[in-house]
Amino acid sequence: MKGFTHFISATALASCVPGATAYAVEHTSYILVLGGVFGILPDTLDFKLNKFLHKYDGMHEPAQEPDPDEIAATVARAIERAAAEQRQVNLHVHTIRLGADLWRQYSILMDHTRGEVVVKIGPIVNTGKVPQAGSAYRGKTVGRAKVACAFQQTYQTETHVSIFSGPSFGFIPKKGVVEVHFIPWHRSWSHSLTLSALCGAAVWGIVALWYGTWLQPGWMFGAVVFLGMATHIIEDQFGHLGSNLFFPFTKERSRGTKSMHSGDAMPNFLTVWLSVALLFWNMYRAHNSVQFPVHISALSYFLYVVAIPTALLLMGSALMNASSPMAVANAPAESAREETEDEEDEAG
Amino acid sequence: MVALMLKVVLSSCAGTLVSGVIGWLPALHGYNVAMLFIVFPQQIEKTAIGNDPYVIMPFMMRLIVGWAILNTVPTIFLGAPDESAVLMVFPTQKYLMQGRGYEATMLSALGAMGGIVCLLLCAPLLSKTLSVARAVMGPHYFWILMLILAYMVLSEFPKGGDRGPTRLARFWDAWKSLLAGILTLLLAGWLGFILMRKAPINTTFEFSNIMPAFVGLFGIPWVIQNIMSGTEVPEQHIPKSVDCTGFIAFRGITGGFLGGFFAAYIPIVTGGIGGLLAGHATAQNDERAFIISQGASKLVYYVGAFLLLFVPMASIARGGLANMLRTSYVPRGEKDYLMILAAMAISAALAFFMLGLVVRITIWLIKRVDYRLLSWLTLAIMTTLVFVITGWGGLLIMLVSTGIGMIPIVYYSRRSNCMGVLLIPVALDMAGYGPAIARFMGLQ
Repeated sequence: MKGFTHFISATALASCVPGATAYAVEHTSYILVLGGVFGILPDTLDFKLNKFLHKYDGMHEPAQEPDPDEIAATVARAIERAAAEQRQVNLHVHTIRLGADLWRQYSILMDHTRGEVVVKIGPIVNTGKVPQAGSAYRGKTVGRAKVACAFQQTYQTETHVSIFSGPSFGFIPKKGVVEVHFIPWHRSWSHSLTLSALCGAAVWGIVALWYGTWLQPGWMFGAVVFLGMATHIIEDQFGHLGSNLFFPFTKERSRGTKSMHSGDAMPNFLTVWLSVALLFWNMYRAHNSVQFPVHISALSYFLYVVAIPTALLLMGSALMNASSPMAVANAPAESAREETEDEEDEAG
Repeated sequence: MVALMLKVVLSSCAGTLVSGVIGWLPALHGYNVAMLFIVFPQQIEKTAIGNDPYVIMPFMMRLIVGWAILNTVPTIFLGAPDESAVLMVFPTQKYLMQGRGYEATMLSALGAMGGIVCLLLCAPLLSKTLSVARAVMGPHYFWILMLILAYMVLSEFPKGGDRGPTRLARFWDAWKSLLAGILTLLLAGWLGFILMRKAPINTTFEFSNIMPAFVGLFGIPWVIQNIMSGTEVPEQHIPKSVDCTGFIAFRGITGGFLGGFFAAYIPIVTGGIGGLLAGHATAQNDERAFIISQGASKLVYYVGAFLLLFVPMASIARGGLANMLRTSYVPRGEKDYLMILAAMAISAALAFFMLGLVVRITIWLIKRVDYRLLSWLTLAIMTTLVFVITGWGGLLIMLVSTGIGMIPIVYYSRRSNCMGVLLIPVALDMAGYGPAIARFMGLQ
């Protein structure tokens, strides 16, 4: 999901911690802000830290007039190197920037059934990924390189490289086959429930020391932090990439449920809507019910703010999908392309 | 009854014409002109407008609606955004450089019209829901503002760091823009503290206290960039239709409306921040949806904030204009509410048609006049207006703000960090930490 969705849903769930919302008002405390901050923290760690400190064995910079054979060969050799040296090999492939707002798009297909890497050079696109008229590549557009060892994709076979930074791959030898892991620095230790629990415990400890009492309000701060971070990790599991849920006890990312793409508008918007509704309800409940002048019926609130808008949004979404059969027919190919870029820019 | 309707319609039309002029002028805010009615009531009374609220209120609404729609033109063609439009500048600037400035303007106007329709559709619900929302959320504003601030800082992601010989070099390259963003936010917040406590301006226009800061933070840096980069604007095309689907328009309008209304309702949150949040909430990657949403957000923010004053049972004063107006005018229930809604609808329709004319004149102008010269002219107009409204003190604030506003341009960080000028001091004041910080800064 997008960064904002993680942020607001984490805040909303943090407000469910018993007493937290009332504590925020009564003590002018920013406790609920912590929920949001820790809700976005896993991606902050990945996209502001891991991404740059990750160790690469190779970084490939395609020329302005790219040679597809050269790019394909670079990827193929990195896969073979992982097999030969029996260790993880990390490769980063750069985008081809042609101007302030212009990029040459290309794709990398790692076809394990044919044992080859295929690179296709595409049109020039702007930062909105809109192809520019008459920008089809005039040089050689397709390049191939055979891979001399068995390999397997764990995520998707084709990756489109277009704007900002290019993709990273981790090639990991395992039982005679090299597994291809997409952006290996993402959703690793930072996206673990273990780290969430650790952060929650640390914050509890700090607050307990500050106030000089162990239980109150330390546990509340700890619960808010844990819940905020865990919300992010659980939401990510609905996507394709999955997360390393129990690092360091687990070493790899577990597969996501593939129910949605992180950039899909409807799940993002619906989550935001429901989060805001939950947050508002918790704010209302935090008031002293005797003195508070407004009474909201739980049933009416659920009906008018949660059920009806959700039903309308889902119906609208279904209608839109039904009215564009072409989009549905093209969905698998399109989704693979989108997912690559969504993962790259999901944080923003 | 007929006479009353005629008054509303005529004053709306008159306001349209005035907004046509002020909307085109960079830095001249619609709220500033509307303030004249409050600050100089005797002088206004002597004019044809008189002192009839059924003439003045629709006229003011007209000014605001017209300005919010027509001000898109200098934002796109002269690169002179106000703070609510600053997010929109990058995509629209791209459109301008592709010769599609007209299209960008129309997309933004489409968003604005969609915003008006949404406001009209929601109007019957506002009186009940807003009074409840105010009661429930009122005590929580302080942390909601801090939540927004936290998101602004955390959601800014690196714009570099891809290439570099070592990991550390890449890390530093990436963090340069992030640190610049945080620095901008803090400096803007610092400036905000000073302006709210010891502003070197002696003015009766409440909104004008912050006006030179906004011009310096958002408007002037962009114009300076245009002048320094020697931008040559390509020939602009006027297409018969705009490249946009119904779904994109719907997504943009919905997101923009929600963001704009959130900004209008929550104190201190502006249309720019509302637009940023709305864009992220609706996962907008499409440039067209983004431009539409910013057009909707800007209009709903400015118009909605003024409209809230007239909502029966709620009557919420948001912003300097509504707060000052409240001292001299009390809305008279549903009758006034319906009047202001009618004025809003009429004004939006007229402004939309006027926009076509204004944008054509602007295209004609930039075709004949050197763009750099126009940028100099924009700079001169901005500076003159700041001086006329706020004097030497205002110019000083504008100068300091420009220095802060240049940081995002030099380091490619997010310009919305400049909104720290309002968000930081107000969020801390609401939580009760403001006086202690002001004492620490020697401001009390």
